[in-house]
Amino acid sequence: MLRPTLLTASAVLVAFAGQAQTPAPTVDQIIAKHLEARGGLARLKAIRTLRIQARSGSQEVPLVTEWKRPMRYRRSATFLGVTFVHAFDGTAGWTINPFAGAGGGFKEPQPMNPEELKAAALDADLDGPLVDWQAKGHRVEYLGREDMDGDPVHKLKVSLKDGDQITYYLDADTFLALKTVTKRTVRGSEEESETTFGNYAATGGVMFPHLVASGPKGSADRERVTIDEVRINEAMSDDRFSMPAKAAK
Amino acid sequence: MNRAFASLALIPALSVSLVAAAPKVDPQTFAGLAIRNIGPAVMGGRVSALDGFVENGRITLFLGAASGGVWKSQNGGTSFKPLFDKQIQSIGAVRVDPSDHRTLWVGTGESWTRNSVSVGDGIYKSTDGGDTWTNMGLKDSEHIAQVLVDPRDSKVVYAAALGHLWSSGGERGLYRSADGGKTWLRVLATNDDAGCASVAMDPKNPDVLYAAMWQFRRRAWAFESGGPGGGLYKSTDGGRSWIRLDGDAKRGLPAGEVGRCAFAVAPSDPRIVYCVVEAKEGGLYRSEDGGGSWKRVNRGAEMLSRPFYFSTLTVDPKNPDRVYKPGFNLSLSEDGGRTFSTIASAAHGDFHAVWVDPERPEHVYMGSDGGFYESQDRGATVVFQQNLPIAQYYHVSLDDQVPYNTYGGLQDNSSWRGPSRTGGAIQNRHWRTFPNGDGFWAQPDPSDPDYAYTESQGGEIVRTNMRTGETRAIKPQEQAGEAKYRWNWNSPIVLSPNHKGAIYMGCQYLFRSEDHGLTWQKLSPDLTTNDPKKQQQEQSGGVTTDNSAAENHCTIYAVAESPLDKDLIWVGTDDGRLQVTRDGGKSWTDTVANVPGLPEHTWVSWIEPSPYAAGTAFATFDGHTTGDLRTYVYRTTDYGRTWTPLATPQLEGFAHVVRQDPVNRELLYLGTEFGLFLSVDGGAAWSAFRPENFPKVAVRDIAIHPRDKDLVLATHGRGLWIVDDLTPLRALGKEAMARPSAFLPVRPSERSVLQDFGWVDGDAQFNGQGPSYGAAFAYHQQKRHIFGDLKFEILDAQGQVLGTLPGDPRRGIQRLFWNMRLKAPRVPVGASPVFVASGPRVLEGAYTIRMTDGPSVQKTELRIVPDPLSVNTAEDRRAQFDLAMDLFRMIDGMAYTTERLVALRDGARGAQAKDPALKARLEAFAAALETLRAEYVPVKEGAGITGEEKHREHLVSLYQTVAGFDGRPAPAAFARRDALKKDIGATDLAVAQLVAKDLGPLNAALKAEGAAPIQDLTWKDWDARTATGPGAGKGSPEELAWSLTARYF
Repeated sequence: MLRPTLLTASAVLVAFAGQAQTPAPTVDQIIAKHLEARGGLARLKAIRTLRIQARSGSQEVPLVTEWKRPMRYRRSATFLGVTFVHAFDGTAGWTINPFAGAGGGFKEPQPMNPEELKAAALDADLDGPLVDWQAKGHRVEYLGREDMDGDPVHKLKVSLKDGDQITYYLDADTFLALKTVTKRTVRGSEEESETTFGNYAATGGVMFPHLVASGPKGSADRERVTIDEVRINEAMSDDRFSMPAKAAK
Repeated sequence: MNRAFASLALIPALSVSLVAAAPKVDPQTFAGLAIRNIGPAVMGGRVSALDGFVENGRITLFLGAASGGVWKSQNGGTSFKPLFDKQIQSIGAVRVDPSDHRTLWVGTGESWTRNSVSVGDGIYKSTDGGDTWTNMGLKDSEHIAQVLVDPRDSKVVYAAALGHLWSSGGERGLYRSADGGKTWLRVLATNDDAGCASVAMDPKNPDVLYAAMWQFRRRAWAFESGGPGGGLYKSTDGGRSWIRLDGDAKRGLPAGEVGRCAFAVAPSDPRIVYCVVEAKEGGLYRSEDGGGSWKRVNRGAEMLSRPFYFSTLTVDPKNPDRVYKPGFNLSLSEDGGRTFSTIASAAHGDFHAVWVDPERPEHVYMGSDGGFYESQDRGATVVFQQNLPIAQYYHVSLDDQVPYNTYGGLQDNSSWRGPSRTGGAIQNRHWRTFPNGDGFWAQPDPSDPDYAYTESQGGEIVRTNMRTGETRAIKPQEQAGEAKYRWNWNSPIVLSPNHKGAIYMGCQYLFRSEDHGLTWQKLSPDLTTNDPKKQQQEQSGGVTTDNSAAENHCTIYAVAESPLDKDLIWVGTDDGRLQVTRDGGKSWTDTVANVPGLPEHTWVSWIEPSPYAAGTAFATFDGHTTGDLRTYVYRTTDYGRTWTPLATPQLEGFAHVVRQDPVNRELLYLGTEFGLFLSVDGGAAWSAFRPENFPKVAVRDIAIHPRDKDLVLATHGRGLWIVDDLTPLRALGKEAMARPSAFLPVRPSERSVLQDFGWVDGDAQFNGQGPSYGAAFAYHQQKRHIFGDLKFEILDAQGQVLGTLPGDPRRGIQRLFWNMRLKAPRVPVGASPVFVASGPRVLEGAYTIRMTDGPSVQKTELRIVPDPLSVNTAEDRRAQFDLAMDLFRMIDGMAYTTERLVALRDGARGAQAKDPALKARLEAFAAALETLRAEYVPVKEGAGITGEEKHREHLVSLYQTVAGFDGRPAPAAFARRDALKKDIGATDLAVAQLVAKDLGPLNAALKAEGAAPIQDLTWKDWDARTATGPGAGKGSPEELAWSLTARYF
């Protein structure tokens, strides 16, 4: 656990508690506190590669997600003895979906469709959209402080450059993200999903949630991902992110 | 570690104060109990308003439900999502800003002011398509009939406010805002009893407005439409000045008093204006000169019927002569109103809203008392959309079947029975209806599970045989010399808790039957005030007489027999009598004078005799029919001699029902017009029960299932809701709440055998939520868990971990579910995948849950019991489990063998041999291994249905057969297992022989050349390598999709 970050966050709590009559905080102030809570911008930017090992659902399907600057991303899941892959090499995205096609067993990599590509380009940003949001072409709006599950949160609406939206619910005490609501436009139709974060712990001075639960907004169904291990700045070949000519077994 | 622990580690002073703080009881304390909406949507609820727009060829619709909030569809009505759950659910108007479709306006407080109408709290605006809302004022308007936005300027908005329904005053009239709702100016008003019922705008010159003022007053026993405040007006300057259109014979509109009227301007030719007028000379009037002169073009029944409920018009967007008139039926004129035809005849009647597709006017949407309809042919045929759970229940009751069923009556939508759970979703097809009409009380007959009692308005009770459908009308009938019986709109049908099969009904007298309604015993004199002034319903209605039983008064409304004493019966009346008898009806005492702070004649909405002490009872009163919206809830402990008020400032909404928990006497449930409230201290303090998915809807009735311990809510506008298993709530005490986290007890978890295969119904069907599947456990945590681990492990009797679940980080009571299944076996990998959804389900018995919350570790028992529906014995289930586990181990073993074959094959092919002969031997070895692997698993690579059936397919098929049925496997399954063991054993033997014969010599030859040997894969290495996988997933790649797309920051 990261002592300096939490001290900072608690100091913020005290500072904000005394501001009941003062104007609402600005977007920049909120984001600055959020990034501090995550470990500080310097530590975030010092991450060159990131590998997160996780398990999903009651059957604990192994999930491995890897990032490498600039904008390289790969997630794989081993399921029923076969492996799914979603990957993005900074420009192009590709997938392996062994369940595509009747009977399964299809292991050839395929280029992502435009909607997958749009999502992958966002996923590949290992800093997240709140870091350097202006330079990335996003817009951020502070929606105020409200109650979420009985606790105060700050709401930030991020209008992404690609037209989609993510609303962040930041804990008013620690400024860590407790929830996001994502609104995407998929082939002209709106899709909303909700993700909650918990069990934060630090690796390399940076806070990562170790419980991520996501599902459609308005539904009680949630797929829970438990993060087991976070590794930072390990060597990672660029080839892992490029679409292979042929899939491995 | 939760928030407090994080602080403790780092900031001692702060953390101590947090830990020492008193346990907080607020809505979040209970929200994690969760609540599920079972619908139904097979029928509708009243739809009061519709609006929409077309963009890029797609229709977005906004639907206002009379008491069920606002719903948005982005696919022309195929599916809807609720937008307005945190706000008041009574909707009068919805309007999309014509120049900015992201901006929406909602006027709360339905304007179809029937007896059961609710109240609003002003006008709301959203600028983000309905995601967030801001109340923009007019909070005292109570009912808003319409909202219009100037198409030239989004800041100019008009709101037609009816004002208070049951009393004078409030914000009433036509209001105009010029600053997007920040401030409002009342631009048209007449008197303190009249409001604006309709406003219409010339779309080509939006400064031209037409407005109808309406004087209307409801009382519990009558209503009056019409009065000096009514009138028809036109403005040509955006509401700054008005001319009156009616009362001037030259213009052609009727002289004299008008009731509820409505204007509509033809969008394609604004010179043509229609007005439906309630008046002595009422009917449909038409102007062809922008309101300068009018002609009555129709005075048919549909123009004159029930104006307070139906006064609205819609003109086709392209054809000025095509007019829709909602009413008992939906009527359509193609000739400017001269003649009308009935359309949408396959729909439920009582229409209130029509929206016509502006680009394709053949395409029409309609809202009625029966819900939401769509037509592609101008109403000739209609589709009823069963996708909106907006049922308006009055009451709910439960039977003792497994699973138990719900029974309840709905406003204008009959009475229905539906299951509390199925093997999957609770779908529209699971519901059955009873004889039609408005529905209210519905009771299963506890003395005969084939029968149920239901009623329609005015006490028309029937007893129905649910097997055959036969019904028998059993309403008590006046005997010679008796006064006419007065039956409430919503007459009580109440079961005796002491005598199975005995039922009560009440008009002004209380009746009891012990022979299924064949005969009735009169137990009381007239228990009401019998005020003759409140019994003149024949004269109710004002301009248009309206006597439908909805205003029947001086009647019995609430009846309850003490569960501790069959002769102790309470009766409450709609005119404010609170009667009790302690001798089975021989003598009665009115105790209402002992109720402090209660205005005279306040309607008694509920009486709840305590199951703990005969002299104790709770009562609620509802004063809204006098304009009094306060919450009244009381308790007596001395048979009504004294009453103690229990209302606190945390409560809101007039009260409908109070229940005392049958297990924890301190636990009270209160249903009001604005939701459910809980008290854990006998009514000293209250807290709203408001989980994220539960709207601010009227809770009209509450039932508690004695066996299953579920809480069932009947809401008037959002159907039925169930809180599964109240056990943790009942056990939530100060001790548990004083600890950072603590387990709470739950009911034993059943190994449910219920299956419902459902069908692929498409997106236009509502699916009611079933209970969460699995073995439940519950805990309470004081603070939100943000830092560090919070996990739960399930252990068997030997301490072996069978499964792990992450905790829920939210504070308050939380409940998690373990799917009772072992992890799936590791599967042999082949060219194609094989589906093994999960491991076998564990047997009934005691398991342990271990909670790890940072440094704190706690344990509790998890008890799993058989499903009472199961026809199998414990021995049967043990036989099934043992065989499934045997097959499980065979699959797991084969997974190892096939991986070993791959390792050896690849090792042989990768060996660095120099001697060509050795190379050939290595390749022959690899080929032989591959030949044997092909006996286990499919090896033809590439997509497609190869149809290869190998050992793996045979084994998995048998495993699924055995694991899929919770009883003793058939003898053939055991025989098949033995046969497969033999077949697989033969291949296993061949593998062993091949490896024994070749591997040693090959490695010796490689060693002689100085090359690395072929590495064999041991079970130990493989087991260690695959300890965390590969898992088998949750049964489908689609379910994994969320994990694949989840973002971590």
